[in-house]
Amino acid sequence: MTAQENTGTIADVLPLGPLQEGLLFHHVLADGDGTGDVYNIQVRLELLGPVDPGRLHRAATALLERHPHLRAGFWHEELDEPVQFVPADADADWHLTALPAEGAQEAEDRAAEAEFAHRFDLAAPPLIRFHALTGGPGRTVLLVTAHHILLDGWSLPLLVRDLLRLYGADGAELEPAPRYRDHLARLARRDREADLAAWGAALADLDGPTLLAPGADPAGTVHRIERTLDEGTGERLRALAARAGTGVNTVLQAVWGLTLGAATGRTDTVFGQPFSGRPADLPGVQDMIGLFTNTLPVRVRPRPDESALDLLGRLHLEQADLLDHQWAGLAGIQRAAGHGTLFDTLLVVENYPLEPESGAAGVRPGRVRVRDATHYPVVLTALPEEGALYLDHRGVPGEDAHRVFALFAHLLERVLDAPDAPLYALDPLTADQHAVLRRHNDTAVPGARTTLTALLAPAAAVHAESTAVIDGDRELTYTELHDAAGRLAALLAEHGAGPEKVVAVALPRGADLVTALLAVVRTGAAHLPLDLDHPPARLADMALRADAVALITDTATAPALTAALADGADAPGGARGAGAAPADGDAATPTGAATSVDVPRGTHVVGAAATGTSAAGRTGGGARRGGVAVLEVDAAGTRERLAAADPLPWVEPHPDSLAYTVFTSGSTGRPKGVGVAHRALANRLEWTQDRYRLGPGDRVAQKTPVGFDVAVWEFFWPLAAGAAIVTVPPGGHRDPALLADLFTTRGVTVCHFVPSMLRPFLDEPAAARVRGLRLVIASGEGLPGDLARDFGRVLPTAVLENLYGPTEAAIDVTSQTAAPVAQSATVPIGAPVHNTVLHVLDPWLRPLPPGVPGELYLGGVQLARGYVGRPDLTAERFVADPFGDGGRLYRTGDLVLRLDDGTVVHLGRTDDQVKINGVRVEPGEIEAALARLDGVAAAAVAVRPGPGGAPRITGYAVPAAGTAPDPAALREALARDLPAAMVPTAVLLLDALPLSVNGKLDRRALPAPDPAATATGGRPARTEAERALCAAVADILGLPRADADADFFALGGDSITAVRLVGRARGAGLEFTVRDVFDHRTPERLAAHAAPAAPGPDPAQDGGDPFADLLDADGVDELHRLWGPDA
Amino acid sequence: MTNPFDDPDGTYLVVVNDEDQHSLWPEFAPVPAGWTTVYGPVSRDEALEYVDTHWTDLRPRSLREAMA
Repeated sequence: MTAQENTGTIADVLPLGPLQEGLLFHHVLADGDGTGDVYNIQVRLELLGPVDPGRLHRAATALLERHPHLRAGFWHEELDEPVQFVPADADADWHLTALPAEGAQEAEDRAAEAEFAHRFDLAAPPLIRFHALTGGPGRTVLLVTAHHILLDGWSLPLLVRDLLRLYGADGAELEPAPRYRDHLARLARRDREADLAAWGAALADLDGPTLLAPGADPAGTVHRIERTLDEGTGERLRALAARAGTGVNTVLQAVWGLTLGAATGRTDTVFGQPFSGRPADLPGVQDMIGLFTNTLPVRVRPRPDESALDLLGRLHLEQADLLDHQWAGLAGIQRAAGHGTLFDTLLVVENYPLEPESGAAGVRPGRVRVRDATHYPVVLTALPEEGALYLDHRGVPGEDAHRVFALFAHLLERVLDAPDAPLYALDPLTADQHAVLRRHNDTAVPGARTTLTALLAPAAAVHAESTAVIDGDRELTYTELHDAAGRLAALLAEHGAGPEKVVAVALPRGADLVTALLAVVRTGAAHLPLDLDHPPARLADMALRADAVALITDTATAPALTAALADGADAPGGARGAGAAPADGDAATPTGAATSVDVPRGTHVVGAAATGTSAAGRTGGGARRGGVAVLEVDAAGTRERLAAADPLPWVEPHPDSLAYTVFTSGSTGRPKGVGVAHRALANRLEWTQDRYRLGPGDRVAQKTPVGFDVAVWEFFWPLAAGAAIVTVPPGGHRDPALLADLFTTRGVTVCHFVPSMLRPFLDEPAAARVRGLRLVIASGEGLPGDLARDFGRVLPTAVLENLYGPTEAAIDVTSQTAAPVAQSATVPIGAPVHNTVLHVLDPWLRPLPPGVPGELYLGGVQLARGYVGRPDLTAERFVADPFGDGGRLYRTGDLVLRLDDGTVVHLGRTDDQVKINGVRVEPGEIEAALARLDGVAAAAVAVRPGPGGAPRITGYAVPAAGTAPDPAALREALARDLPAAMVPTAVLLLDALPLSVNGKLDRRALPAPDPAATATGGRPARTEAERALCAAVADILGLPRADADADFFALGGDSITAVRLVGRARGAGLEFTVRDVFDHRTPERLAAHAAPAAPGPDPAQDGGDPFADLLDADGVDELHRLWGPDA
Repeated sequence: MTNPFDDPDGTYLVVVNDEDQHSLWPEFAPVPAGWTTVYGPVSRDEALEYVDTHWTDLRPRSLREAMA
């Protein structure tokens, strides 16, 4: 006889309590998954004395008669609200086993384990099993195993007590038990909206869930780690609680919150805690058996400057406000908080009485053991009275669990030691961990040379006749190159170039560019490389803001740049450098080289572009424009001057003088110039040489656009090492076939790739024939592991190195050889270079242990000086080093974590910055540029993965009142201001920007450009199945209608409503699981996925108060039809 | 996760080192060795305003002196 056939008629139908709803959901989900349901609770009761098994069986049945809801089953299909139904028949599910004489204990343990693993079908009651094990004389063990949906831990001693009394009474009448049904009825009458509103307020501003083990396998085996609190600790714990005026529970909450914070790098943490859920004013509630307990979020939000004692007081008050709302369901709370799953850890503080009643009929209870299971990956259980701590973990690596447990014990000690100290002083790291971090940062290597000049000048002499540059068919030896650079340097010096001056260089890639850069170095000035692919206005703005004394360009580029320089210097509040120059507007002064240096800078006419560049060329190529001497290297006049000049002797700059300035996208609306000193660059080049050993036989490709700091090493590393530069023709860096051919014919041995360009290069068939390549350096964006693996296949003899560094530190600060770690999804960025330290810090500027994500801060000699002309931006990004002595750290905005071996993994950004083909893009800069355009009142930018996964920028403009700008024209205007990588692929007009509740731009609410991709759908249902599902979705979510391609979750669905959708669908003859709803999401895809359901009953009627409805004819009839005697 | 230097509602100091380099500094954390408070506690904007008007030469002091 099966349980189903045995249930007989329905005695009662009840609604579900909030935790019951949650458990039903997990059950249904596990059902669909086939992973099994793990939510059992078990008591192992040792009975001493002469036990009569028959009498015990009768007591068990009497127990189910006395507490009807312990017989309940649960039903959700074809119903708007799930219900529990109580079959009239109360016969206990009873088993009796005689334990063998040999191995009795093992047999008992096995039986307990098997019972605990029993998988209940919630729709097939009873959900409680009794298994008596008879053993030696006078000893019987009773295993009572139930699905947690029936009762909580507090109820177990009550159950044992009642069972023993019923055994004693053996059929005699006991006083009536308090009715659990009354509790459910009260719950159903509660103001759920008010409860959820209170929780919504308590969780407002939470910036995300606290997940200790995202991705942990919920079906994993549970492992338990135990710790004992020594007497002293227990005492101090109680003393602190008393001093704070709270309970021990609050202290444990605070410390678990701090532990999660330290383990996840957060300062605002949430975890779950079961609350008793027994309303004090419900008569007899302390004696009720049932599921009252409710798992609720506990939010711990420590402030760095408050003490542990302050935190305890605050926690206590915050929770007092929520006491009246502890019957809200977790799913609803999570919805109100707007974050989905809020936590994956549980704190259980057990204080329920496990002292059973004294015996009955000669039988007395011996040892009582309770076993409880949850689906949370990590559960910390504290039994303060016994001084016991347990950490149960499942699907989490054991060492991680041990680490978290040790951290909890460590922080508990610290809090007990110094409850009055500010929390930031509560060091989450042990002395050992600090020592390990110090070792990872032990990178001190004295640099032999501290300026670029000191690296380049000796190589010029040593490698005089070696080839220095190969530009197509043009080859220059070191002597030829340095001679040309020396002459150009002489001209630059005449124009004022020298240490702490800036010379802009705007030339196409090739030998002239190399010569020009070398000339700038020779004068001791810093070079400002300008990428000719960028709009002239942007380049001119950079030159002016960097305060360049000269601009080296050619006759092809000069006209546009000169005009832009004049415009930029004229623009009100335009460039900082030239903006200060007096401009009289019309007194154009064509100038020759000789006079230009004599005339004090800034006195020249900013609007001098009217004189034209031909004048500049005629007069010798040196014309000052708004304070910038524009030098055209190919102008006849310049050639004459160069021929006549004597090479300038090397000017040795101070190591802290600037070597170069590179501009990068700025979140505040304009690009910002980063000034990097010689000492920093020299360190980077010496480290590179130490690690990769470039020599005279090497040929290094110069393919990186000059605006990218990678180009700096492509120029100067080979020239310091006696190797040759092979220049890639302008535009050629984007052409894999050209690169492969050039690398082969010119024997390139070393080159750089941004990962997004390395992919097409490896896909190019000719790449495999580039045999000479020995070293490829990747940087600029994350290096995917599969790309590294493909690299090994295509170029087996070459080494791939992954380097990382922001513009704000000389090029690269970490490195990692790709091959050994190519199995990872993304190759780590590795370990620090010489004289460089990495700190992974939490929001309170404390070091984080390995494995915990935090923001990367850089320190050491390679840090840039700062942002040119922007002391404010410099002071907020280059900040005082909390661990050094007067030094600074650059905060990168990169989210990273350290592995145990000290290497660092890049995880993402802490801000909006994105990389597009390796180019750093601040959406804020694009927004500012869009907002500056005529007819635009407000602007926003969203970056989303486009087709193929590459990021795609979409601009959003709100037209100014009375204007109707053309989106295409706006986009074109942006293209005149911004480099191509930053120009949105589309600009959409909006009536207003979507704002979040706190009034900030809600980027996620910006509409996607492709209407087909929106979540709201738009396609009406076509088939019968789609129509049924659309109707069900709309009905369940309370919408007027739902489209066939509408995303269930985007429309407001969640786990609980998904259960209902499955039930409703089944009623309509469509079979799918809750997991399918998560996977397929739209009625269209669900309809396509669904199997026809087994012939089922008609769908239940909709509408009305579910509790009332269930008790009238339809619902009960339905249950009777399925479960009743006629079924 | 808010960076301690980016809290618009936070309270900040301006600290300076021997090289005259300026740094924003959150009030809650102890001022690091080698740095001296020259301004604050004030709002973030006020602190940056101070930096903008008082740190007019980004060159480190030792370089400035060497070039003088």
